[in-house]
Amino acid sequence: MSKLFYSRLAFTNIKKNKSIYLPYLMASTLIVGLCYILRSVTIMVERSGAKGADYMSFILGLSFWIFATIAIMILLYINSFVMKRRKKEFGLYSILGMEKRHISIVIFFEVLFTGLLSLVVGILGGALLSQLMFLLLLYIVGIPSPLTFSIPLDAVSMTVVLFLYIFAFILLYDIVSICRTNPIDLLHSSKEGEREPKARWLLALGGVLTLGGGYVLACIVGNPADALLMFFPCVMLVIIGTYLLFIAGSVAALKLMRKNRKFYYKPQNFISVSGMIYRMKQNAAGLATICILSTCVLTTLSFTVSLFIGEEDTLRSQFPRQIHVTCTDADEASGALMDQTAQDYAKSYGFTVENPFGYAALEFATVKNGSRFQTSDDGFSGPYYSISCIPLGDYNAITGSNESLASGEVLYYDSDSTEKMDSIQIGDLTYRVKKSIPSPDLFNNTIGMSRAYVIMPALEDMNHLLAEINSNTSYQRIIRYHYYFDVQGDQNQLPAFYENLRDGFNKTVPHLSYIQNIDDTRDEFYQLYGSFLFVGIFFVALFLIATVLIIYYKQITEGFDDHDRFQIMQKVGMSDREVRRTIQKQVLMVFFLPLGMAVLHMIVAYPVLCKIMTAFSMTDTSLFFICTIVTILLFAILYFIVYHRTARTYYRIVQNMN
Amino acid sequence: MTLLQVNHLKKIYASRLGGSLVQALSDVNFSVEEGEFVAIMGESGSGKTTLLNILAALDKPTGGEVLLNGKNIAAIPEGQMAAFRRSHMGFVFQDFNLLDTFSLKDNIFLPLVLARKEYREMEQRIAPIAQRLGIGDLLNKYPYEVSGGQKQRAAVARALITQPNIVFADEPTGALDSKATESLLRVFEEINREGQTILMVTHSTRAASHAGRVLFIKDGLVYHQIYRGNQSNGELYQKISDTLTVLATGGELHE
Repeated sequence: MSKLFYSRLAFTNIKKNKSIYLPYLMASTLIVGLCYILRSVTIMVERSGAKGADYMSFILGLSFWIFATIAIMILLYINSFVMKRRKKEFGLYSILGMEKRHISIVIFFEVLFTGLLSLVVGILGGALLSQLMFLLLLYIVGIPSPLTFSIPLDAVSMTVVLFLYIFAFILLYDIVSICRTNPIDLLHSSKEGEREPKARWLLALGGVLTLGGGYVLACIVGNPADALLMFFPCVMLVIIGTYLLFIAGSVAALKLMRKNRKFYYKPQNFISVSGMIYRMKQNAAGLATICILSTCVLTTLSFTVSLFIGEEDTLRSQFPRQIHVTCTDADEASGALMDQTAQDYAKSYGFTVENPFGYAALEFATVKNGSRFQTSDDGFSGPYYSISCIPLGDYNAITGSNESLASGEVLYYDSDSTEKMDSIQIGDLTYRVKKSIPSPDLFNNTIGMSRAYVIMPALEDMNHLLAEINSNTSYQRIIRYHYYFDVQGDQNQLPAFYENLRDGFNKTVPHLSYIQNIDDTRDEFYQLYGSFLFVGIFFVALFLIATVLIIYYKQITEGFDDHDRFQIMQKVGMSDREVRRTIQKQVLMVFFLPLGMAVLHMIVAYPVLCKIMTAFSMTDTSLFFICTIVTILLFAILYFIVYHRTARTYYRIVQNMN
Repeated sequence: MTLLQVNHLKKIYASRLGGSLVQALSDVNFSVEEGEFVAIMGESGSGKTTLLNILAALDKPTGGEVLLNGKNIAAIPEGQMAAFRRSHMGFVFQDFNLLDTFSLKDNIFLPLVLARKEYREMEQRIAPIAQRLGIGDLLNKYPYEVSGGQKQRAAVARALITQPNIVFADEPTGALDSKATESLLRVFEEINREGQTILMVTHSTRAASHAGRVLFIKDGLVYHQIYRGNQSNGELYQKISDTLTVLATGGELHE
């Protein structure tokens, strides 16, 4: 009876409970590996010193902690499953004379073995894979880099420490849960949950209301800004609604079915419905979790992938020309000055300026009330608008039109309404709308708000308006001059050209504001969305692991529970075939319910997601549509494979000994 | 009229790993007349349960045949077996085998639902049975809400509701206290008086003493049988008990 005894007992326990421990081990190993990879890639990025590295390592570092938090919850959840299945065994030990102290030692060794194994294998595997993942990240964000094999010790130690804490917590949880129950309860604990669940109509109603509320909210959001704002509340409502519906709604619905005698007293319905009532009690939370996780996987994947694929389009819409230079306090001479400066600067690099255009603009965000755009700070109510006032001269030059305006007249474009308006009011100033114009497509701004263009006779009208607005608000508005142009010449000179662009313009253009070029922005874009996609892959992997495991453990637990039931039914006169068919129907219903619900969530969320995409400057909704469909299909296939594999285990358990 | 005829029944089990063969039944012959209440007695391992499983078509014999209403049950195709058992046999088990997910009423309905009977017909059938078994008020309760004796009555109701040719009872009093045992055996006697054929396997002398005839099985053979004749339960009890003593000590029977 030495220490060796306990460790050997722990070892045989793990071996004996292979069907429970193997998936658990695989999952914890995978999670350790993923954590390590994420951490080590972060560190490798940090050390690579590449352009945008600090930016990327920030995103990756932040995601690491979110990832770790979710991983902890998943591991704890799975562990509680494992413990539930094993309580009977521990009960037997204490009947046989082991004290709780001794059982705790056995549990300690079990956790030690599983923990060590998953840490070692996880980190080793992670070390190998992390190089590949690092290359993948560099490839995604478009940074060329030679492969250098490295195992950052920081990452190793961090992962080890993190998971030592996690496993210590798991151990504590297990020991406390063993100590708090007495041996008889331990022996019987896997038989718990025989009492019929009550139908909680109020909760069910709450579920319908919250889910419906979330759906309705998602359907009625108007513009992308609202969509971004409402997305989180929507998600919360839907999550709460999903849980309530699965937990209370399912039981309530099944009880309603039971009340319908014609439906209920048919062989398959009879057994399925009564069985499901019980099943739902034990599994509702798990199924709801599968549903939410599946939705997470679907959303994350389709969103990041389409953002990534759609990047070039987004850039194009943001950059009508290669370079965008702005200055503030624009006056009549700004255009000519910009032109001249651009020419001179380009010439010094042997470049020529192509397709330049520019315009002065008074731009601000406001609230539209009927035909009035509010300019004071107080009392916002109504749709948010981004409004741009542009002088007629610039408008005519850019669009090649030949409009004319008398004083007090404007040309008007409204992205949200085609309704003809005679006049509009900005603050206290009223303008007569001479004509509604189509969207002057060239001015693309990135924020997905409703937009209005007001073309004014001259710059001085805009200055007049500016003075009026600024007298009403605490925040001072300005008139900018936007100048866009392409350059042509030796591409090798381009980085230097971009590098010194600001200095070049600063010499002659006063009040120079921001300067952007498409190539640098593209790099930033790729770094940002590439990092998102990269992190997205990790989260998808994590969610998938959780989903698969929950399905697997559910199947096993159900199998043990259903074994007895189906045996009785066979004795009473149910044929093998009927049993098989009933089982099949029931299992299908249980496991495809979450998937169906997740797809429903996706369908409802799709319009909102589309709007949010536009807020991310991504307007290609057909691409997003394809991405969504493909992810749903892939996910459904994967789900089916997992279901199929685990269903076999389930049948084996149920049919066993019959 | 002979309802159940058992001829030269033989059952040999091969142990799991192949090796040794175990002979559970060597040559069992007996018959049950319609309206009889027969108890089969024997010690643990005597082959009682094997016999019942074969009679109930849950298990296949190695040799011999079982005729129910003159029909060899081994000849019934697999696909119709469940339906045949459902409509011709009723079962009562030691551990009740009620489903926790059903109310008592739904438990009793189970075989009828499997046979796709109309709800109205089921209602009509259950009323008199529940009445007689004294569980009329408990029908909407769940198995975990009632006592063992009440559970077993519900199980009996489930066995009777299909109006079977024969009810097989496997150690029906095994999980009951003495009071519940007594009242369950009364129920058996009563339904038997009304014409229901019952075959009960038990090792309880008290349970067997309520039967009309007692068969004794030992080493896979029907070793002896006692008819009640005009004897009271008490007299029969004494006789069974004597027989068991003889069986156990291996002496000769002095009839």
